[in-house]
Amino acid sequence: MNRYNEKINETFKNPKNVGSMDETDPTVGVGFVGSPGCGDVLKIYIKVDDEDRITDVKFKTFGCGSAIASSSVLTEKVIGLKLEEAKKITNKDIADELSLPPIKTHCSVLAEEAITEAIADLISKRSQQAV
Amino acid sequence: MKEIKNSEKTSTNNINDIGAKSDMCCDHNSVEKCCDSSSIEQCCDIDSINNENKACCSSEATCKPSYLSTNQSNSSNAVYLDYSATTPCDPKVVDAICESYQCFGNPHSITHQYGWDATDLVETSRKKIASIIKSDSKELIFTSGATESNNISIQGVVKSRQENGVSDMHIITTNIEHKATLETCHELEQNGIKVTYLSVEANGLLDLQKFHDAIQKNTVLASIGWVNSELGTIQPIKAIGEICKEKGILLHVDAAQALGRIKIDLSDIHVNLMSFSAHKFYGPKGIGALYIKRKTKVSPIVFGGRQEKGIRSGTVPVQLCVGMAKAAEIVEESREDEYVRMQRLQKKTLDRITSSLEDIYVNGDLDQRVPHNMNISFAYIEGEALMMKLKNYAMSSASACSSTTLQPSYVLDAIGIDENLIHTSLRIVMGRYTTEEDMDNFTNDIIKAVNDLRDMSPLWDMKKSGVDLKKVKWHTHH
Repeated sequence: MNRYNEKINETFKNPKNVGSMDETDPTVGVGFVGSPGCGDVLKIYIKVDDEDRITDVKFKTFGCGSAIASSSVLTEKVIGLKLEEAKKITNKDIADELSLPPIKTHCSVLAEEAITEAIADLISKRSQQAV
Repeated sequence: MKEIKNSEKTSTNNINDIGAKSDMCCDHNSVEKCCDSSSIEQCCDIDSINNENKACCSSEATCKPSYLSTNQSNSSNAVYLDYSATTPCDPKVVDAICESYQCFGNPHSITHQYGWDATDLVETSRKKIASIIKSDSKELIFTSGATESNNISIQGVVKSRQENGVSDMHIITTNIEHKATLETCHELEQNGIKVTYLSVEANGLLDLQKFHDAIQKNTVLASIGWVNSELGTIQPIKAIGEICKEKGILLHVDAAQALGRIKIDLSDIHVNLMSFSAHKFYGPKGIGALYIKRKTKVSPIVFGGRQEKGIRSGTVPVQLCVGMAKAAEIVEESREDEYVRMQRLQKKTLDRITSSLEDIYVNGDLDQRVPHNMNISFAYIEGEALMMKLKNYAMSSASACSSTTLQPSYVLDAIGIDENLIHTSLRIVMGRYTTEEDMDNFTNDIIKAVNDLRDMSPLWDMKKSGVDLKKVKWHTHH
């Protein structure tokens, strides 16, 4: 176990927005990234209203303390944002917020990939509905 | 420091005296009291040792050192469950070491009393350790630890043959050895020595037939760890020794994890070289030993004053020798009782964990294993996160995320544990100061922690809804 800073420890201990949503809901986008073989899997759910605003976020993560803390920080950052704003969140924003040690940078990359995929999933669901 | 007078010096230069005094001092409530006695006044000038030992209590082997706090509200004083990594130095060993500082001479000074006294301490220590492992003290040299002992054994045997004109050589080891063995072998491979890294079976044990078949005409040495540090599995060293004897090859055994846990009787087994490390059995760090059976040819790999039969040059650390001997003595006295106690704690803990949680896998053979060790995969949650949930316990994990190199355990990989499961593994190793209460609390806490983490694991959700994780197409990001 790494000797983490208090921010990571605290976030790991009390993660925000743990949970899941109905994946079949057309207003829910799901991002599912990582692999068990690599040691971390992140699943994020975003609920988006008609004005493209993220009204709710939930996550479930298999991973180390940094992966869980990164997931939690990501959900707090994107909640309330418009999709266009959420797209701009980068791994650096998350790594900086948690002062992630360099060896754990990939946890923040995973978080960025998760939100990107969740937004893409929502847009794809919408376009399918439109058809 | 006051000057050592001859009369004092001669009264304290016998290791038996030191052991006896040390026991006496531990009958007191604190080392402070014993330090009032003039004979070890000097040792008590060392502030750190004095302070560390204030809680040293009875002469019971199970007396918990003050540095192993049970105050679970303070995460810096977590319950120690990593006894394979190292063990806390027994307070009685610390006492013996402190007292031996009375004797400051260099054992290689052969022209005066100071040197002779130091020699006496070293030789008495050597005899004690040799008698515990049923060998002759002439067959035992002191080293800095098992890493050095392994290096001398493997490199020294090869070098000795090379000096006799042999160049085509083959060594056999296994793929679950300690890095001190594996890296030494890798190094020799760079110099043209052939090495077979035998795969052990799924239970962590070496198949004797496979070992037999791996021996070639040019095989000079087999190097096998007796007790594996990650799995606690015990290799059949006696049988391996018979094969080596029959085939005429040398056998080196890394017994760093074995001494104090299982019986070591070198009069009963055919082994040429055996490595030991004091800090694995409640002794000090920085000292170990190497048993070299009579007539086994080993060339030195370090050069200098030709100490330790010319095989390990360098001033012998007298105080550490005293500490190692004292530690060996104490650990041997309680070995059988401890084994039974560990078996009971291991069974109780494993029974409760496996009956309370699904998808729990114990890695490595359960019978041919020291009961101190529990190496467990907690499927669907990551090992480092589990340790973070269990901050009141000090353990280690096989997970890549908890290593500095992001490489998962090569030992679990070698015994065929699924990569997905390696990340979920913890190594829990109990020892002398682990109490039943510790393990009862640990069991409660780990069951809760596993459930909590599974509640937030997407893999657990998938498992519960019947998804086969092996068939999922994963997005790998690194």
